[in-house]
Amino acid sequence: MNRTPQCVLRVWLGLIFLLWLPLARGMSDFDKGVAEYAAGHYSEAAASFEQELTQGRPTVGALYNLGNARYRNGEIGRAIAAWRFAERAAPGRRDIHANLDLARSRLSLPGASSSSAWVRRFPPGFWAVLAAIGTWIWTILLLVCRWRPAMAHRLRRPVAGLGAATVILLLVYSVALAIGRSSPDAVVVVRGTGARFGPVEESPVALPLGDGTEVRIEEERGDWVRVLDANGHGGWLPRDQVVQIPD
Amino acid sequence: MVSSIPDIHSALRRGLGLFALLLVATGTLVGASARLELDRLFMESGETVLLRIVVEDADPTAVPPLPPIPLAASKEYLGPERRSQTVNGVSSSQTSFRYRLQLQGTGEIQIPPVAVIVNGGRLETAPVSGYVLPPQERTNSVSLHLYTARDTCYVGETIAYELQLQAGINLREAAPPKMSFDGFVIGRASPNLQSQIVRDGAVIGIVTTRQAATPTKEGDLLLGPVSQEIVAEVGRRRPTSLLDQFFGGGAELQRAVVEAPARPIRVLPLPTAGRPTDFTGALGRFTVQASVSRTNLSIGDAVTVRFVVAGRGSFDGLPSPRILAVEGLKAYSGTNSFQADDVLGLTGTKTFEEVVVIESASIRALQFEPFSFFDTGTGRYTTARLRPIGLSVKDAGGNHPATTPPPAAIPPEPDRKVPPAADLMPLMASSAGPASMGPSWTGAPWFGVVILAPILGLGLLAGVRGLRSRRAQATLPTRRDLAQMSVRDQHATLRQAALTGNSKAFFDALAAVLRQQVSLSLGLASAASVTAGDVDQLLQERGMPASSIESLDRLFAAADAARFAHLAMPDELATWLSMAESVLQELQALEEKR
Repeated sequence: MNRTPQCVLRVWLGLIFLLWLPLARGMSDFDKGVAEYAAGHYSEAAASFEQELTQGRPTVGALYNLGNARYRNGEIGRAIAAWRFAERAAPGRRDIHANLDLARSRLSLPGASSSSAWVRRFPPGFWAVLAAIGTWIWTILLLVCRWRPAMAHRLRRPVAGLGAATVILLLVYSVALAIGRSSPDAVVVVRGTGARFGPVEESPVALPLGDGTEVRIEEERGDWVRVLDANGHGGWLPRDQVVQIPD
Repeated sequence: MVSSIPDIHSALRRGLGLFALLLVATGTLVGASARLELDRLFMESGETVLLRIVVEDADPTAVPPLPPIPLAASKEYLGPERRSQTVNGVSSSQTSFRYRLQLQGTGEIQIPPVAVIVNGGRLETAPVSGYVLPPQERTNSVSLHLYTARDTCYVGETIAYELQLQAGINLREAAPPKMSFDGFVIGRASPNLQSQIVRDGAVIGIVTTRQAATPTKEGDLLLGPVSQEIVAEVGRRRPTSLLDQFFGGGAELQRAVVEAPARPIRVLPLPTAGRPTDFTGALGRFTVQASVSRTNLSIGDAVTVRFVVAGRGSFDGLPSPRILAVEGLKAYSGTNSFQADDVLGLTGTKTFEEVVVIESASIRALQFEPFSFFDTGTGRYTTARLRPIGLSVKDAGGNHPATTPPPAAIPPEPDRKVPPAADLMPLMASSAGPASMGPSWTGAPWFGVVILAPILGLGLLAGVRGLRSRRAQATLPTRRDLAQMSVRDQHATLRQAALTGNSKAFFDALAAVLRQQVSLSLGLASAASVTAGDVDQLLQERGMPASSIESLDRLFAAADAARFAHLAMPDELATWLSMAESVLQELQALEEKR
């Protein structure tokens, strides 16, 4: 008779342990990275945050911190790439934007993007979600007005306002989508490289590209990608010299 | 800069003069060549070997002296041989200087290049090499020998073998040799070469055959064995008749088969380590050059790109170097040719041609893919990289596109190690929510459907409602239907009133039915809107007979009169009814015409 509470306790403790185990393991890499960063070991900190990202679930914090560690380590391209991944997941965070602006302001190379900042702060996905919410609520209100004519008079103004807002949101989403399609989607992550005329190593350099230059990938061929810089000049880079941030 | 015509003529004259001078200076050497030939590549120590310096299409002025040759104990000049021939009107000549070398020692014999002085210049031969083997014990006066320079090679590598039929006695006949080539593909063969050597003071006749063979599989293979049927003179008897003497009789003949054992060849696979991704199977040691017919082009122009691959190796199936495919440039495969430098085709030059069409003014250079080959000499892969060839392409207007010259080198970047910390925002203390490294789900096509689905649904709903409304509308009677119905009702009332003798009802109905029918027949909103005169005119224009119009006027007049006096007998009403129906028929006919 006394066994039942003990069994329940054991099962309970086992469940807590199972829940705690991955959490503890994921947090440890993150915390380790934070500690190493505080100690000034930026390379080790970056490795810890990458470990967190590759083994655990990718989080905004790990991406953002990875960007900071890379930046401190002088890897501006990889820092920008990490922050852009973080920005994509959390478009509203000011600390990400501030760091990205800082890194971009340090780059005086061609292709250091300064245009369409608002699109990056509010990416097409953000407007897409708002437009989706707007269209659904507006539709539901219209249906309510149809099926309950008694409420139609009271809902007349909200329906009109929400309809106008939804149309505006759809327009903004379309514009953001068009701008996003033509804005840089990759970052050069090596120093002293250059885009070449053709996808072979012996091809002459057509366009010098600095670490951190944001480019748009136009074409892929084997281990090479053709990129365009902000001025529309193009060339071929080895694939491992850029990090692509998917739309 | 503008040149005058006399200037151009002067420049042309000077150029032609210079060209003529160059032609005179070099003319005698155009097509001339010199080479070294050994009567066989495999020899034994103690034997002699015949070396020939062959000069073609040139006139040597002196006997070329031989440089020091290792393993050659003595050299004896045997004299020149001259041959000339004319084929299809083209004359060619050949002069050979023959030397007999006495070999001593074993190993590879290298004969260095020999200089030949000819009229008008100097020619130099390529070096040639052979192998001096230790002397072998021979029990038979006729023997067959199979030699290969190597006993190890790679799959696909072309090797040469040499077959020597050696006879210390006269041979009357020698059938073609029968040889096994299991695992090999045979290639070019040299013509049989007959020579005589001196071995241990005895004269030996040798028939030499060379051929190329390429292993097609890896492993321990056997080249050979070889057998050859011969008829030899083994003795001589006294001639019994004049005929015997005439036909070379008196000799004792013996038919025999001579054999040479197979030679084991270890065929190695091509190593996978270090194999370039662009390797397409070229084996040997090559140099590659590319050239184009011209570099100043317009859009749409075609240029011929020529690849010259020279060296030593397997030329059969040698892949062509490739032009890098880029947008605005189309390449079409052309011809290829092979110029062998030796009879077996192991060394030579293969030329590939491709036609390239330029389709964009943005093309500024022809780029080439790396040409990788497996160097069978070193056992390693080598990649030859061709330098891009610059092009100048004019656009449709004949202008060169404004382009900036490519930078010669990548400018160095400043070291950005550990930027100042003050500006950077601090680390996040927590994970702050999940993040996706892959493409965003909001960019997926299905999310577009999610956004537009309610709007599409509403549109569908509105469409369905509109369709229903239109269908409902279609079932409602039109104004015309109502007017026709009214005419029918009034007509019925008219008949009823005529039967019952109700004069008032009759003329009321008559006035109503006539107005309604006139408005229908003329397409008027109401007959009251026009005067009686206008109605008559309109009806006349529509083709209503004058008698019917007159009847209509009379009917309207009767109806008007009846408003003040409703007195009419039943038989009178029947007459009016008959007239009214006749007029109505005419009016309905007009309506149908409309």
